[in-house]
Amino acid sequence: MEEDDRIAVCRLKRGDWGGLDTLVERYQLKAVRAAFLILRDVQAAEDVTQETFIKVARHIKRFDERRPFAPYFLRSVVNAALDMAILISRQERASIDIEFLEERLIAADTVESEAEWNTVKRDVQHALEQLSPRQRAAIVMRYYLDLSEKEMAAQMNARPGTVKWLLNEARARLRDMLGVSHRRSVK
Amino acid sequence: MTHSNASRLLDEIAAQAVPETLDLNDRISAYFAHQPLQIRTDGRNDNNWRIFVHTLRSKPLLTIFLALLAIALVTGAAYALGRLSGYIPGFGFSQDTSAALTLLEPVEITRDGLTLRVLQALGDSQRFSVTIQQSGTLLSDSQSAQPSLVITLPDGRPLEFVEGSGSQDGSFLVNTFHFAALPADVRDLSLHYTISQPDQNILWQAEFHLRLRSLRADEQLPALPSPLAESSHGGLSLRLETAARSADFTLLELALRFERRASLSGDWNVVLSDSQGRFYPLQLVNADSENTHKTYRAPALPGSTEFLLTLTVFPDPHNLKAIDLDTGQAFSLQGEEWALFWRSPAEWDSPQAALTLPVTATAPIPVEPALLSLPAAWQQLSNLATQNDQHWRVGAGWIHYVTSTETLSNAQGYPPPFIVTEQWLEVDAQGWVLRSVYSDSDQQGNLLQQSLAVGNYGINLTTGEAFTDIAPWQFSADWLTPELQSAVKSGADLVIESAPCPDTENETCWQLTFRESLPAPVQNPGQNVSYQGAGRRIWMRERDGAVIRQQAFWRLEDGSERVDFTQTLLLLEKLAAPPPEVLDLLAKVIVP
Repeated sequence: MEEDDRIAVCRLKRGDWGGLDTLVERYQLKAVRAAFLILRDVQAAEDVTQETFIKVARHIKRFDERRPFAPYFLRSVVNAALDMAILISRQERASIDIEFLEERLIAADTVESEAEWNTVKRDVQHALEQLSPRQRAAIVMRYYLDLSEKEMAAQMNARPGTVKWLLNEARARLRDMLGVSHRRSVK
Repeated sequence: MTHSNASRLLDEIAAQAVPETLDLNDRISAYFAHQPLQIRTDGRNDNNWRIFVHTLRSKPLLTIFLALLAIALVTGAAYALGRLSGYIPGFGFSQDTSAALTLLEPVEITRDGLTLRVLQALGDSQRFSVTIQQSGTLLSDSQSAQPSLVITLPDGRPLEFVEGSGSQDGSFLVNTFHFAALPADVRDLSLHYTISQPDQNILWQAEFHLRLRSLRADEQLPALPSPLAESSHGGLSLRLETAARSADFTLLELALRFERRASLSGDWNVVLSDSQGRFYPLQLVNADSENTHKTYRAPALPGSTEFLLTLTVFPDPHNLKAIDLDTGQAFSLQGEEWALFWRSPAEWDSPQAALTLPVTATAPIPVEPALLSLPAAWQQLSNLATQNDQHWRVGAGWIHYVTSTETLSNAQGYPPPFIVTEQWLEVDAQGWVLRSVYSDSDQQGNLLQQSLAVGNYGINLTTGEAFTDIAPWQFSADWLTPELQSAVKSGADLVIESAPCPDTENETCWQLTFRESLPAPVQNPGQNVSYQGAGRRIWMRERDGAVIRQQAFWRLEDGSERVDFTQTLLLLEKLAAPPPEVLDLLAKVIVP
């Protein structure tokens, strides 16, 4: 896969549009879905992904094709989605503790029945809607794109630290903002 | 640790809104159809030339460092515009590039020791051409054999043949066959390639198919073999691969190619001049990712003229290096004299291609931004500086302006730690700059870089780069007022002190120190210090308001300062005419 990406990037660098077509076909679905999880708006998610492809194409000569393309591109999409989410939803307030959502996501690994799976999915979906864009971006990077804690910290312009630090920091900020403890179930 | 089920769960949630049938390709293609793809190699744009030549005086404190970075990148690599103005490499100028066709997939046939490779097929509403490379040897004598090509359309009719041309490139024979335009919507063709002796005896023949597709906006095509001119040293060749002229401009494609497998690092450019020493601005419009192939736009060049293309590497020839991919050995290209002589085709000589040299700025004059009101004490200082500036801003003539710049950062590239910049500026009665010459020299007086501008056009004689959209500007020696305006906008702290003028005796200056803070300390990668802000310091003579020095510095987290650059006024005078050599230099610039 990485070798195919490298070839596509090289083609695009030479001005061969086929390279961009290949990259779009390969990563558009993952990218739009990641953006959707943050933005909660399909049209906005598609716009963000399209814009990111365009930016990547315009600046492809800066990209070292020896590096893997997918993490670079998907992180760019998440960042762009986060920027847009913050722009269109500055007043958004979280009303759920992110720890709850993490617990549900981790619980997904031990689900045994379809009914239980659907319950967890509904919980997660509901919880996602109540998080701030930055928190949703953190969840997407950690649990959807499977970034390491170090990669996440770097991506979100945080000081070196763990994802727990990052998520805790978001949680503390929410508490300060709302003045209450938010730990509660969404059921 | 991975979270496969969590990932699957999130994917299912997203899939409810984003189905697998999603297809952004059409949207992205539609976007680029209206906004041609400009693949950039860095963040540079034409305005950097302005940044380079016009000092940094009107920049807010914190962006001054970005401007310095731009100076360091003045020799940066190319920015691409892709295919422009209907020019298609290997095909020429097309009246309708939106209807242009090209090869869908590679075609190659090998039979009886002979290999045919279709290098390119291109067509528009006016014509169609196919270029075929032939390699290998025929079993029988083929010294006088000639190839021919017949194209059959899907309805069985032959496509009208117009003319053909061929060239030998080593052991390869490359032939281009030109035909009439293809009927609309034809994308599949049958080709019959024949090699015959003069007596029509067929030595070799093959039938094959070609499939075509639409040429996308700004798609780049590989250049064809057979350079127009070539200069080789030590296994490396500088080649002029193609040249094409429209009524308004000329496109030149140049390449650095190795005889052995090698990779090039570092940037290069070319300077175009004629036998009379006149310079023709070359605007870089395209560069490949390997930095070996560049396309330049020049003014419409006359025909039957000898031109000289000289390779330049700036600021240090050592910057251009090559690595032998087989041995891994790196070698520098320093010390080589790369010059390419080329004679333009006679048919380019036409009356409408006459070159003119404009002597006045013709671009619209921009409106200056409204000034903000300054605090009273600041306003007094601004008035003093503005009053002094009037002498330079009003009245036609030539301004001779010399400054020194010490750059104390460890930035690589340009500028070096110390340079003297000499400017000769022709201004009209309102102070608008008509023509200019900039020269950078080192401490010993050695010329490092020289640039000229005439109206909107500029050329860097050292790097060969040309600029075509230099905005009109008025000369000003007042470095202070823009800084005061900036401080009002940004809320910078200002401390005003009376102090001895630097490098002078018995002169008193106003020393103004502007300080801005970052929202939070910033530590750049690879550095062990954190910055809490930036600042500027300006010295203005009390007796006449002349601003004689400015300095930019970083503010470190421990409270200390790190000076980044210091610019000092060495000479400012207004004369009726410049030295003859300045006028001679300006007269050599060919401007479309």
